[in-house]
Amino acid sequence: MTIFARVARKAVEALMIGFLSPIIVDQPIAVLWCSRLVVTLYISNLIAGTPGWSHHAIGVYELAILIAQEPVLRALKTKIGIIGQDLASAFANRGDAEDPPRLAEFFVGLLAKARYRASLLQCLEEDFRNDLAAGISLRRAKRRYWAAALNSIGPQLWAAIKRVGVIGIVADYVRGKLGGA
Amino acid sequence: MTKIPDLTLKDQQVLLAIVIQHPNAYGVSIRDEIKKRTERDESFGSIYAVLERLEDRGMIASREGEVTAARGGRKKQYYTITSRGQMALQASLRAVDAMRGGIEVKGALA
Repeated sequence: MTIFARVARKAVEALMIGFLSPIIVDQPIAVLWCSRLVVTLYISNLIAGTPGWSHHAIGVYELAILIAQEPVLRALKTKIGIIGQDLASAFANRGDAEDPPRLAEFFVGLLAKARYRASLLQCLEEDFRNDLAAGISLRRAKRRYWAAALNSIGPQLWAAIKRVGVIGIVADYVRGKLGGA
Repeated sequence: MTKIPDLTLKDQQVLLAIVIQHPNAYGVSIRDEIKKRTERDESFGSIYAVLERLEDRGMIASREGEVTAARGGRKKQYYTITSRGQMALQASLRAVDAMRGGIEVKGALA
């Protein structure tokens, strides 16, 4: 496998595991399966050209596990649905330009725990509105919102990064033991 | 007799803020109270992590509040201390007082 393919594979793994696993904290293994399935079947086969038989074997094995774990997939779908509803309600009743930055809200919604996601978004918005009421410019208030949002999801972000590192090492080790590239 | 749980400094601060703000303690007011008294600016993420832990241990209870215009028409989540939380806080503060025992820390000893 080329260096480019390895880097591409790692990038996809990092993106999938890093951004999805905090959402489905109850089923982190499902993310591992999903990401490895995508990585093995799509990235390896399409970018690297002609992968060895061990890649296909791992891909088929992971596909079988994934199919066998249909309830896990259903749970994943439900969780993503709940996040969608939370974000939809968070964005409801909007219409003016003086709203918190939506991308920052999206990241908070994505990474914060479901239990206090709505309260956290509400508190951040209250701070934002207080800033505007105190005469702070919209631009600065938005910057302050971004800073507070990133500060609030920092621990979750760090946990996701650490998880990516550990899973990447384990995946490489297993692949190496099975004779993969 | 049930064991009284240990509290961290952050647990103590959040519980004291809830007691001070009673019955209107919520994320922003708890953060502001801690900032006012300790001059430490805690993130909402860390405040909610502590609130979650305290609620799981039965030391605080939460309820949904009224809808306010300042919060984009959404409800606040208010927190109150439970009797278990009061006992834990009292025991924890008493332990700190007992350890201090009138000692004045004036600086490095070396």
